[in-house]
Amino acid sequence: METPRDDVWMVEDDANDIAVAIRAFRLHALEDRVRVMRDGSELMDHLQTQNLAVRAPKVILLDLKMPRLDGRAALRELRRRPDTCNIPVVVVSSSHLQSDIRECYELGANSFVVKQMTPSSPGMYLVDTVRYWLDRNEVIA
Amino acid sequence: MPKEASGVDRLSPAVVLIILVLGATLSFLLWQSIVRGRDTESRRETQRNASALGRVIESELNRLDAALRRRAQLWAAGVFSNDLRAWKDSTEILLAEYPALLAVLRPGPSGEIAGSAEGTRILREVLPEARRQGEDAGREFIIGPLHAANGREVFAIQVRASGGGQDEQTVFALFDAERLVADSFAQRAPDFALTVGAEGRELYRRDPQSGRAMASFRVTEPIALPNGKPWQLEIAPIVDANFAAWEQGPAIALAGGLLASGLILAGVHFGTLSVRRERTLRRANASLEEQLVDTRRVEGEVREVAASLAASVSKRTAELDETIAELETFNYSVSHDLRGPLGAVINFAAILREDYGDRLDATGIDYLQRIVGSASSAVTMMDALLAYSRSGRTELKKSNLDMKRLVQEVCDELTANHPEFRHVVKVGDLPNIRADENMMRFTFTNLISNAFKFARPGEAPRVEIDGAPGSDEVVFSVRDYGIGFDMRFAEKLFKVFERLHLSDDYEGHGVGLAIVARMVRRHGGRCWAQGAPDKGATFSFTVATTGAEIDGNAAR
Repeated sequence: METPRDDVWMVEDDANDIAVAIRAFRLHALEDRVRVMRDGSELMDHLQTQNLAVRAPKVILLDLKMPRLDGRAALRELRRRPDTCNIPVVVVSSSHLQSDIRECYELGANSFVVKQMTPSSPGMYLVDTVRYWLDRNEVIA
Repeated sequence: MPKEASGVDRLSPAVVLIILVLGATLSFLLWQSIVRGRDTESRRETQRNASALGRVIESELNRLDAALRRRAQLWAAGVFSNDLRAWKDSTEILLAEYPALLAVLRPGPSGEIAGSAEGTRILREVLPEARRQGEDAGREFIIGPLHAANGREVFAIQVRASGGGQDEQTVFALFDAERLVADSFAQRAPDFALTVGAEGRELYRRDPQSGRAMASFRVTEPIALPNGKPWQLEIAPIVDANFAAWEQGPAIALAGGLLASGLILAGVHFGTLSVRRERTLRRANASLEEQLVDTRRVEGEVREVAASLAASVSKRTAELDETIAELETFNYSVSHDLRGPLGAVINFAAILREDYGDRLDATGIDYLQRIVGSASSAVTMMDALLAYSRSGRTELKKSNLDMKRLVQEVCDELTANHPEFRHVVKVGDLPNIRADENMMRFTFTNLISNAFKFARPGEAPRVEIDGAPGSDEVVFSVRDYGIGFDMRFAEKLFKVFERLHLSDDYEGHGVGLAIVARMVRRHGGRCWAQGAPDKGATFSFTVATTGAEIDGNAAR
């Protein structure tokens, strides 16, 4: 059996955010299930290498502001492709602008999570989020 | 304009002079033509008179001649040849018939003369001379004038007749030409100065009884005698009163001319005056019209300027709106972008404490806490700023609000976690308004929570909320009995990040009231605060009910 590290795709360019997220995942034994990609282009490249019919991620955590192909374009592309249009996408952004939230849902996002900064247990919100999509959510087979 | 007006009142001297001279000249010429007409008429009249008088004298002479010729024939026929008495009688009758006849010489050798004594004498005296002249001039003629010794001038008429086999008879008669002419004129005596002359000698002169002869009208008429050289009749009309008046003519004409000129002048003057006035009026009208056109043009220009001003104002407004929007975007993106690094500070401080906390002493932990606290407070401030920014940007969604219920809900929400505050708020009768529900909710939440926050230490807060309807606005007030504030700083209350109390004692960021103020302004209202230290504070705001609504940008 393959390593299950591809269950969660995290598309994030900010090194600090990645570091905080990975620490949190590690503390909660989720580190191995998460693959990190640094922007939309990397996501698209990775998609080319995957046979999604055999194995698809259970959730894609997508940052909005990224270099090269940004979150919106990536989301649009994901929803355009038949093999990816049903993969749950959670937009994780520091923006809480209504316009951003609305736009993302209109583009086909399944959830919108605002990046948290908490004086304790940083990144915990990501752990909670991922757990939901891994443990509770059912996808189209 | 004033220059023209003065020109209207005065004619130029040249024009006056020309008109006067022209008027005088014209009247004089007119007068002249009248006078000439009259003169011609006078001359013709005089000529007619002269002619008539001439004929009268001629006919008198002819009559005399004829009478003498008849006598001569009778005498030649020997009717009186032997009868002296009969001849004398006959001659006396002749003399009586012709008063001008002075004496008649009986033909024949007797040489008897019939006539007055003087006539007889003169005849005797001039006879030789008459005979001589008669011989010289021909057989039949009027001889004379003959000069008598007493100075009288007379004429002799010599008539020859023959018949009955007898010798030719010559009748000599002497007549007074003057008398003859005077007698001729006795029938017809117009008042003329006249002279009758023969061969340069004056036979008869009659001077006018009154007035004087007008030499210029003198007319000479020849008088044809039955025999002999013609006489000359000269007559001239007399200047009578009527005529004398005519002589004043030139003066009258000049005076009339001047008067006429004056009248013409006056006419011209007033004519020009009225013409000029009319012209001036017309010009004034034209200039008024021009001014009107100018005014309209200026009006148009003003309108254009106003329009362009309005256009530039709206352009500027649009630019300002754009700038403000850019600033908002900038504000937002700065806040947003700063969140990342600050978030990292907070996160890694937290990680440091959680993962390496056991290696730090209490002071190290305290420093970490301060790092987290400061960064958190910066994030909170940025969030507040974002909220402030959003308050000016979000769309105003008005609906009819039951304000009493809305305020009650806000109170319930605020006291949900503080059951002990549940009954400290007294909500009065609040008028219902049309406004943005979220903004009203925010406003009352902010004001009431402030009232809670600034209660006097150790005392339960007391809050009274009231509302009063007005003509075009509604006033709401939130009164507390808390620590109050110094009115000197009332202005600062509604400004961003301004705080009147130490942040250590009272948490908050000094943005809430600024947002309230902005929201109230967007509802066409205003807000203010009254209070005194330890005497509580009253925050009031109005909401316009006349539909006034201020655009988001303008309210910022």
